[in-house]
Amino acid sequence: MIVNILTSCSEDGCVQGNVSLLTASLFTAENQKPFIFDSVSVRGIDHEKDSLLLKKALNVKMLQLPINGSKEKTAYEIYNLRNKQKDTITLFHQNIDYFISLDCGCAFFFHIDSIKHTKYQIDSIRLINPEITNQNGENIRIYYKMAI
Amino acid sequence: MEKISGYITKWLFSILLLTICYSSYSQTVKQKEVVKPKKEKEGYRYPLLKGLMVGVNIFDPVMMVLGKEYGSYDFSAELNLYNRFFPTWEFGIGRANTINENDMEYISKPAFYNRFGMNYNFHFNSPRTDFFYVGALYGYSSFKFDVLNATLTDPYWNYTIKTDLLNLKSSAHWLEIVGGIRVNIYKNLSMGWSVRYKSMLKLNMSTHGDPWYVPGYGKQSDNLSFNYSIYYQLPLNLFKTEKNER
Repeated sequence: MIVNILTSCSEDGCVQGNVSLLTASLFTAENQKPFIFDSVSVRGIDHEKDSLLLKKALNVKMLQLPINGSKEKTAYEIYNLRNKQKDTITLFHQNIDYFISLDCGCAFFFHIDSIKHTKYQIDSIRLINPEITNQNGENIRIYYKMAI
Repeated sequence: MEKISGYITKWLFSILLLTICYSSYSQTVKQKEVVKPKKEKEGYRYPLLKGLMVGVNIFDPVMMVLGKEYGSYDFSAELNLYNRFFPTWEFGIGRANTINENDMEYISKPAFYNRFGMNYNFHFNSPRTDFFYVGALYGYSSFKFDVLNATLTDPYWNYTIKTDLLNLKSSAHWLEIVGGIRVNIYKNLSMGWSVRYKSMLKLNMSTHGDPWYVPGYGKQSDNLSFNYSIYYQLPLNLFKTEKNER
């Protein structure tokens, strides 16, 4: 009891968070203004159950997607339901197992080596920050063609 | 390092200013309240080099016996100058071994640390050897830690991976502000407690994790600590002058 009182005053749970997500901002290729999906679905390719990360999500301005820490490549299919265009983004990454805290435990951090993508509606992708951590800041910018 | 040196200089200068202000204020109050011979007000009761005070912190070892999962074996050596200024060297070995609710084990291997600084005794001219002090210390430690049986999982990609992170290296620089009291219990033996406010200056992260425990500092998330120590003063009495002897 005494030990607990004297040693546990700063046990405050997992405040840092232990999930590292790829954060993608969306822009238009023509004028670099923010791009918004009216309705979009996203799924991970090679996902064993083929389940969706986003299902018909509305007014999406930014994507936050989990990365597959059991492999060194993660691919997503982004389906724009408004114009029926499907694009694929593939990340090649290094997986870094990282101890965050006793409360949060460990999580994978990632380093993006390179990115490939199809060009149906995506014009280009710019790598902003290759380090993906539990801070979840902007990592990539996806530029979309408007005239489709 | 330049930034750290800057911090240390600022802190030490602030402490020095505070102590000078306090002692000047004390002397002024004494002059108003008590009429004493001039010689007693201006002189020191104790010699320049009164002794070398060695100490051991018994708080952490006792707490570890009672079940605390981290702590240090902490020793100190302080030069007693006029019973007023105490240049201090604290050193020891810190370690930690704890398991979280998911059976992940964190082991901070025993590592040395050092703290250097100065304490100031406000009761420096008291006929009793008890004292009330404040001080500032700079600390440094370089250490390694292991994280065993860690689980990495993702509900979407549906994996669970068990891993061990071994020999993660880190180092830390920090500052401590100390305040405490000590009472004489027998001849040159005294005991006392101190409260410490700690501020991390620089923590070098490992590429695979942040240390949970820093030897000599404690849990990285903690800013306050408590010490209870036993001290023995080895008398030196060098540079003794007639004025100083009483």
